[in-house]
Amino acid sequence: MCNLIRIKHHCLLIVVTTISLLITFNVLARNYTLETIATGLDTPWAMTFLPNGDVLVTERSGKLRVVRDGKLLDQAVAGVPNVYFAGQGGLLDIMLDQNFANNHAAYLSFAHGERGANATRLIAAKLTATDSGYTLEDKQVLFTAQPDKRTAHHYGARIAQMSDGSLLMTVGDGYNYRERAQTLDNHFGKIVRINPDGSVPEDNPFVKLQGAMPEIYSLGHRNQQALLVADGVIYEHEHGPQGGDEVNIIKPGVNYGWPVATHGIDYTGARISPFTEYEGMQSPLVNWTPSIAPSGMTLHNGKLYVTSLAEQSVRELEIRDGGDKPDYLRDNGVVFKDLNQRLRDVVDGPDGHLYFLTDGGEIIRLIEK
Amino acid sequence: MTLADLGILQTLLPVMAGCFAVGFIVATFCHKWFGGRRDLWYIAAGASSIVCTLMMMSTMMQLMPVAGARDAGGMVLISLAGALGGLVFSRLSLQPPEQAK
Repeated sequence: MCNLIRIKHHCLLIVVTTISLLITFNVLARNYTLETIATGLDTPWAMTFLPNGDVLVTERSGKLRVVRDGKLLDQAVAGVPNVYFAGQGGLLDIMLDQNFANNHAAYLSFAHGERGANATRLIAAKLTATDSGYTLEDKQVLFTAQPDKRTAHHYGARIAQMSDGSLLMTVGDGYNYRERAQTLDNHFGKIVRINPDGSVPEDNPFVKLQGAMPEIYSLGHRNQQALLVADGVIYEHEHGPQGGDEVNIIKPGVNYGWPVATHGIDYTGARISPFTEYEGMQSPLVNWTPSIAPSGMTLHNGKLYVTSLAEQSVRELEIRDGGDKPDYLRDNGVVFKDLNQRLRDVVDGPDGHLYFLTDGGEIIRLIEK
Repeated sequence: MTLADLGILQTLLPVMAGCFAVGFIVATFCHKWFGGRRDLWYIAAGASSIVCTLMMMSTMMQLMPVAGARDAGGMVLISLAGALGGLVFSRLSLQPPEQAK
């Protein structure tokens, strides 16, 4: 009996010692620190840095907030248009023009309209500094997705700018309208490309095709959550349903498959398609099944960093040689494991550090040692 | 048709069971109070309860979770399935003549 108790004590001691050592090694092995820059944001969705170091953050409820020197200013940016705030809609992405230093142009995407008829809209405006903060002036509607929809989901709305100045924006499939991602007579499930003045570039892939919306750049998308142009390559990722989250490299006129080819199944458990790949449709370079629900994406030190909502993680994607071959992007898995919360966006800051926007309303800076 | 195509039942079966339970209880009382053909009450209850449930879900969630019900044709077919379910329930729930008093 005494021997049995002694063995149990020894086992317990070994377990406690092992756990303590693992915790100690984990802390020592951590090669970064996390610093909370701002708190108190309400339903934040996207952020961008101004040249003076201020951070602009969109709140889906319709405010464009300013973080200055680690403090969230009470005064939001004036002149933000009314948005349709419901479901996944509201004020969504913000991007500064690549020539912002000279033209002060900013681009905003948001859900426009009302419950029975709403759509993803893109506007341009001039961002002007005032005594109390900033204001948006000279607002111009550049694009509104057609037709209107009755759902409040899957807006897409991520914006990027190509080296020629033209703008790309994602438009989600609107949830109820997924089949229309495969037809060219609408903007559901597409990436569109327009000029900064709202006109359509003449070299868009379907501009001369009768019956096709001329703004369409690519098709067959579901609910795109990130769009990034780096070294002339357009990276995009999107939510699948249950499974089938994708990372793609976007090329003009290419069909990315949704909903004909997908690795996911519907939230109800229903099978969406028997095909995980399909002739004439581009398969993803990275497929996350089960879903991680990717959100933002940025290029940092030559690697892509993807934040996620469901997995509450940051993943590192290594860009390898070989163009758009299937092994072009390698998923290095979860990094910075202490950031385990719903992460909405990530930006490579002007100081060379990664900044994370959380669903809890915080901006967190990651400083690597 | 494979087993994978029946995956939707994991969601749809509990929903249908719930809405049919409410609908058929209402049909039972309607038949008791108002009389008329028993089958018709259950057919109406089966069709209307599933359509009402899907429309309520669509209104509350601002999306239609069941893809087959996103257009009018699909909704009609689903209501017909509900009606058939009502008829089957009506027949199966009839007491045999020798037990009825």
